[in-house]
Amino acid sequence: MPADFGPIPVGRFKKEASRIAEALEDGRRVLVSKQGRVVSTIVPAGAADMEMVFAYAVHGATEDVLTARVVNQGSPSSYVARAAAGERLLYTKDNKAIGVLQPYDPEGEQQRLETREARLAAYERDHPEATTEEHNAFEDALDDDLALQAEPVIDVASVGTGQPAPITVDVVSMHHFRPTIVIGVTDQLVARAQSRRVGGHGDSGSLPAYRVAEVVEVGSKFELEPTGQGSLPVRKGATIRYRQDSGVALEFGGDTLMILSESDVIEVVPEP
Amino acid sequence: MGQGITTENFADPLVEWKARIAYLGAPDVERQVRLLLGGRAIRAEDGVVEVSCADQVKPGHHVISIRIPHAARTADVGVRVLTDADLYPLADRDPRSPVPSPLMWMSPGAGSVASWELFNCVIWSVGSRPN
Repeated sequence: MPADFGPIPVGRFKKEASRIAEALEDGRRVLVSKQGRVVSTIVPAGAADMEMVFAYAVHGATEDVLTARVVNQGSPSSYVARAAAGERLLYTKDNKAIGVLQPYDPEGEQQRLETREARLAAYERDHPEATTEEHNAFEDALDDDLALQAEPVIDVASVGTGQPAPITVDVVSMHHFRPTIVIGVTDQLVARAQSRRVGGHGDSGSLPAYRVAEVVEVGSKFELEPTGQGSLPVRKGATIRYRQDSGVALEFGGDTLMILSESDVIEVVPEP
Repeated sequence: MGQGITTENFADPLVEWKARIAYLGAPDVERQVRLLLGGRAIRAEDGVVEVSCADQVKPGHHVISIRIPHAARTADVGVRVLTDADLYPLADRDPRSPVPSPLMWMSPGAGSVASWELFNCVIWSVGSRPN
């Protein structure tokens, strides 16, 4: 669920630590405030943060790592201040890197909110009898959708058309705020999400059917479990498409990648 | 009590955003939003009613979040400074300047306590998300 969590006042960090961890596991960004102003965010650790994670695995907690011990001592304020000043710091819990504390960046926020507002207003026009539960569910789905869209969406309904049946594989992680998804059991395939979608009708009440991503790395251990006919190689440059039907989370513990939730489903789009 | 709180259509925000406020899905949060948009001062305190402001790229534009830790949802209110360029009647404006925002809407108290009171501003969105 990619809707933001918080803002959490820095003075409440210790008491909210469990909920912060849960939010990160759900792929949500956590807003952190100080004296009534949002100054930094914590984003789930993803493939793009592997260098920091590996450094933590090798060197352990350094002064660049916000650990549960620091939080329990009630002194995360200086770390939040460093992040607000521009640093990116690893956030750990139970010796696992679960997030990255970084500056709050409003770039793109207002456009996202204005788009959200327009689509929400359109939904309300189309569904004047919606219950609070239905309205909230649409808002949450909308946040889910908008989090995947760093740029305006372009329909590319032709992708995959007329090609052999796709192959289904499991997604291990999908980072909602970074254009990267990781597929396979142990970081065996990395694909970069593209800001376009396949399917859907593009109207305000319709959410996209698929997102599209390009494979940028394929590990030697990567294997597919075909559900369609025939086999299809997945190699660098291949296009994949995926559906975000359920939350997918990952957690790094040292240099081990662990699956925390049920896998999502992607389809590898056959090359022409 | 804050004056000059309006919408992009220069309507009463409690009227224009009435349905959206009712959809917030958390009665305690809804009450705080009503007070804030009605020009009343609300008391923010960590762990009780947490009010935080996220600045946007455009100067004078912000998102004010109202969060109550035990509530099901958190409210986000999009707000911007009412400027001289806005065709809003001078007589209906608050004599106080909102600039620099959001500092002029917030009065720090002891500890984590602060008082938030809006005036001379435009409410451009109201929404909620899971807490």
